[in-house]
Amino acid sequence: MNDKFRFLVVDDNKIDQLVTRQLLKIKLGVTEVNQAGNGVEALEWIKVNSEVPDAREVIILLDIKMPEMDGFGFLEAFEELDGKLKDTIKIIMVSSTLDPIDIERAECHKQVKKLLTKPLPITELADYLASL
Amino acid sequence: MPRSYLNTFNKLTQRHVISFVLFVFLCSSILIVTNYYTLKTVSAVRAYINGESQYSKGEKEAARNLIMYINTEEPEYWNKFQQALQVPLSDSIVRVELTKNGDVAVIKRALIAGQSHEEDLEGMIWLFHTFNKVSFMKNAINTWQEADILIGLKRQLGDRVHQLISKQEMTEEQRKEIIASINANTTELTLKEKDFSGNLGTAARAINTYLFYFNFLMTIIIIGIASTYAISMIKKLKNQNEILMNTNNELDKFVYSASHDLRAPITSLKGLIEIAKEETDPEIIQQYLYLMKESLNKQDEFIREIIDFSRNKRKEIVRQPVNLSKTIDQVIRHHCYMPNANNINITKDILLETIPSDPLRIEIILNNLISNAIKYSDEKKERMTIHIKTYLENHSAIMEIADNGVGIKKENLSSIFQMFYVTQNSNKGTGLGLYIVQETVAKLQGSILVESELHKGTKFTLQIPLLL
Repeated sequence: MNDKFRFLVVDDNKIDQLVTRQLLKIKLGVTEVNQAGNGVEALEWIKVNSEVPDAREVIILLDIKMPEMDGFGFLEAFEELDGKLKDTIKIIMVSSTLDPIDIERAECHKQVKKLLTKPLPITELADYLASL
Repeated sequence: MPRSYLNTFNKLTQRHVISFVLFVFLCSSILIVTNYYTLKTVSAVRAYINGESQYSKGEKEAARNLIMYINTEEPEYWNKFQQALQVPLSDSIVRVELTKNGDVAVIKRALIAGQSHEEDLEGMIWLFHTFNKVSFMKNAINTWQEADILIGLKRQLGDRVHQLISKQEMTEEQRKEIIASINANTTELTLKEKDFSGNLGTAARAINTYLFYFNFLMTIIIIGIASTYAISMIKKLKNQNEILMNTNNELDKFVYSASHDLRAPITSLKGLIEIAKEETDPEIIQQYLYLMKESLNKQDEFIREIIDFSRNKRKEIVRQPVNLSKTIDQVIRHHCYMPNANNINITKDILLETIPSDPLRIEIILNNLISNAIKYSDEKKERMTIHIKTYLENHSAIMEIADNGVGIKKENLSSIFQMFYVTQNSNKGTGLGLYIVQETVAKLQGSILVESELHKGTKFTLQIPLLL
């Protein structure tokens, strides 16, 4: 896992960040988990890290409800990024939402590879990563 | 929310319906009254014209019989002459009596003798009295008077003829002269009669034309107002419908947001349990337990806020003396288990102790504001403070809650009272607290003011009118 993927957890909830980080660590042995508190911070992270060459794919675990820039705001800004850069990044939405509009928006978005419900279903994520 | 929209809508509609109905009623009344009087006038005018034709007939018949009498000297014609002349003579009495406002019974009798129809009598009397100063009627009356003088002349001629014939003294020359006089008199009378009818006929036609235009105008006004009203009502309905749909959408959003916020702590808890199962270090497990409690506290707080929200919405205002000092102490005690609560120096300056207000709502407001002041305290400050002050100003209770906490960014200040709005450092907030404060303050018809500077602190100033 560590040599194939880099993880970025975008979530404003400190507890959920901790849970995701720990689950990735315990179940998948991922040691490097990056964190962003909202969409703006996530974009910042992408900008900074795209300058450093790295062969690994980036997996973004994106929450929907966040202050300043929410998950959909981030997706909109993400679309504006360079095509090559986008190819190295896979976005998975992780949310506890029950709002059918949010769910449909997430499922229909072409940049969203998967929609998972909190708490992070780690085996489902592992299966998906294995299929890549 | 939808209920209050509907209430204002109904009030508005009711007021509009009443004024609209009143207006249509007024227009219709004017229309009916005008038509009634106009038709009354026109029918009386027609009755006078009809009277004139009887007058004319009588006068001409009298002239014819008088000439016959002169030529044949048969007393039968003398009788017929007198009889025929009765019609214009009666009319003459009518005019004189009407002019001096005489006895109605006398006038009516004279009118019937003048061959007017019984049903027309009232109208004719009314027309004379109402319009005798108006030009068309005034002219007609003058002509009538002139004609009556000629009738008097005709009668004198008759008397002279009768005298001469009775005494068998009439010469051929006299005969010719008198017949010429009779003919001249008749010709002159005919002119007067034409004049009279012409005057009244013109007036009747003019009145008819005006009535037509008036009816046309009133009908247009009524139709115009009715259509304007209908259009405005349709527009209003559309607007209200839109507002209702928006409210519905808002309600949907509220339900999803609320359910998300209710679920979020549960999913956090489930996650914590998941990672705790794999953890062996008791110290870290202790940490997880602490986080679990934090999650549950947050959910608890959210549920309490939802209940406050609905209580404020549904419950009527209860007027009671509220002891501000006691309420504040109680609220502070309530929050003593919050992180940092015991490290904050809370001072009070109670210049207004008890106010007549709604205890539940005052508690909801103070609870939220004091809880925020504790929640957003700034740990970096050497001495964390909250200062609460109450005083009276212009029949209102003023309450200030000032802290030296983390403060609010300028660009966020305008949004903090919005539903579900949370700021960056808000793992702590539900986005409901200040919304509820604002709604509750509004219910008490008060106002709330916020001043804040990032990293310096925040001050909320409440103005609550006393419920006297």
